[in-house]
Amino acid sequence: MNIQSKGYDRMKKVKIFLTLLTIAIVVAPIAIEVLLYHDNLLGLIIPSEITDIVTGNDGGNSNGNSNGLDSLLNSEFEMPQPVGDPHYDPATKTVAYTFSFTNPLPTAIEVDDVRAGIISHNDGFFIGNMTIDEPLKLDPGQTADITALLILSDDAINYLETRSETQSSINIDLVDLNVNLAGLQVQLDRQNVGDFDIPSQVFG
Amino acid sequence: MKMNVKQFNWFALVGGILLLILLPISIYVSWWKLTVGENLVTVNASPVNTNFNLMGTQFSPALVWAANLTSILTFLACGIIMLIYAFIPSKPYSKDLLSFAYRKPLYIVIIYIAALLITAFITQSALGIGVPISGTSTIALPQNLTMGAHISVVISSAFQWPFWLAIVAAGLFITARIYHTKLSSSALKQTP
Repeated sequence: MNIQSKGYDRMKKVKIFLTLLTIAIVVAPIAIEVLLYHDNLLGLIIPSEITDIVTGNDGGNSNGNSNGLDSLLNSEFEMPQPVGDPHYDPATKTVAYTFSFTNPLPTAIEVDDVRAGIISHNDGFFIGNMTIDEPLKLDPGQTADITALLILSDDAINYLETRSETQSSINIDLVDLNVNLAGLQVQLDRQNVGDFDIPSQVFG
Repeated sequence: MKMNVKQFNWFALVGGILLLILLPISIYVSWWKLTVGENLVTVNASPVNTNFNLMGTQFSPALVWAANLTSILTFLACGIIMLIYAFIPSKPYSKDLLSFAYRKPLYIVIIYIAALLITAFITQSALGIGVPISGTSTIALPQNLTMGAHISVVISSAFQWPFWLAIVAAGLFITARIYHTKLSSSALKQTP
């Protein structure tokens, strides 16, 4: 075998090797995934984390922590719970409602601002404007008290005084609710939030 | 065997080293990053590692993972083969080594940019959400997805420095191919 044919032979081997390498690089990863997901080909495109959220399965890991969206969409997410009685400050005509809230997510929640108008659900009477007293930051699993301040007008005070003669709570709607949650600006035109106690020390 | 450094393909050498450096960097620093709100959603996308983080839940679709693995192996093979070629550009099989390696990084960069553009187009067409390829914008989510609430959020995205490094590496690979022609013609001239 002369030098030229030796070189040609080597060239041929290199060509074959490179062709096989190209095929292996392109085919092997996809083949491995198809074999792994052969009984659930949709899983190739839609990750199990998303499937768990859609189907409502427990997306929890082995140490019992569940993923963020699962916590938000399922039972671990609880609405803020009222703490104690609402407090009325006659000097500022402000009612302070305190709520307890636990962050169910594995990431911190930052609420920069909450603003809303409050109206009576039954007759649409405008009661006042609500805001939170300070920006809120909750670490994962942390529970904190959130104070919502409701500033009343004179008409609203009269309205609540009249109502408090016959009832201890009032069904309210939030209107033009604005929440700034970690850069996400949420605005709701009107949302019923149920019955709220009328502060007894003033109107009771 | 005596090596003539004048016969090295320096563009291939630098390009190969750069690609092999780029590979581990791209696993940890993505080429393109998208942030929704204050880290409510983040997307880190590079041909070798693409992952999504949705409020603390990190995931990567299996098919994307397979594509990432293909890119990792391609970069690795191209980098090593380009380095081998750089030292022996005048061997009979050197052209095959070069042909294997020189186009692939450029193809990966082009496919990566095309995938980003197509994804942005599909998101705009199907969901009505305009995702900026580079820059910051405030988008309003369609109300049919938000149960009547008006939800707007700031989205920012940017190409990161490994992306530009990849373009440089791909450019060096193409230059290595052009330089190979020059090396071949000068080798021919030297042949008596």
